[in-house]
Amino acid sequence: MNNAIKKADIIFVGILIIIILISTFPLLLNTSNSADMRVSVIKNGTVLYDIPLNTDSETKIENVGTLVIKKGKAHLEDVCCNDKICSKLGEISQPCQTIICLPNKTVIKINSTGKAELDGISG
Amino acid sequence: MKNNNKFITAALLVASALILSYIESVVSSGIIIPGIKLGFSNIAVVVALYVLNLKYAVTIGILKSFTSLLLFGRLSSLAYSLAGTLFSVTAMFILKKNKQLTLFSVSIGGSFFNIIGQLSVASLMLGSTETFKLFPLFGSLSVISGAIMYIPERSVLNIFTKRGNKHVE
Repeated sequence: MNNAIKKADIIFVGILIIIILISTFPLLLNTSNSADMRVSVIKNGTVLYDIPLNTDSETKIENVGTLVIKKGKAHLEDVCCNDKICSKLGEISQPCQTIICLPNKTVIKINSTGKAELDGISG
Repeated sequence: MKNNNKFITAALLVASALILSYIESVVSSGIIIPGIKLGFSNIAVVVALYVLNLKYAVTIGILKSFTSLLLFGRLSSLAYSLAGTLFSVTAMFILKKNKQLTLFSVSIGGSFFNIIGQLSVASLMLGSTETFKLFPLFGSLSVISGAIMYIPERSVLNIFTKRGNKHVE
């Protein structure tokens, strides 16, 4: 039998690799479905605000700062206290991610009302 | 090749496929990602496809799945194993028909369609298409493992050609 790898082989493998590369794009683009996610601002255990994550908005939270929601991501700006840890925590966009402000006992959390994604399956 | 010779070759190939999958289960237990195998036992199916014919290759693949169930005793893996084997044998048969392509493409295509078969069965069993999110990872690994398995497959087929059992294209 002929041992040499032909040109057609390389083309075939190239096509397979291109298929694999193309199949990764939808995963990169559509990592989260922000339609049914909401941002709750909780202070001392009581919910102050409940804002949808899929519309851009700015909310002023007393003694804390401004909660900015942009392109399905939430972060804090104009923080009042000196630490500014909560704004350094950056953007949150996935369910159960939190921004926590300890001095004001405030928690900003993303809730998902829809079906929770599976963490894993074993079997 | 005479009919008796074919039977004996097929039986030996099934036996060697079992030994290969045993060796594989020992070797791959130390690999970091669980569930990733190189597919040593696929050598037997490829050899059957080239030296015997499609009928024998399918039979050897099915027998391999059932007998490795007896050896290793994982019932859940039977469906995955069967679907993977049937997909890969069909793909390899079609690729082998194309005279432009050599064993290299047959090996890689076989392992690629093996993964597609297993992912399809997984999505049927779990009732969701989420499993295809694993396709980029497993697809690229299957191309790599197919390329690695090309080396032993080629040498085994070369031995068969030298023995003059049958003209292997």
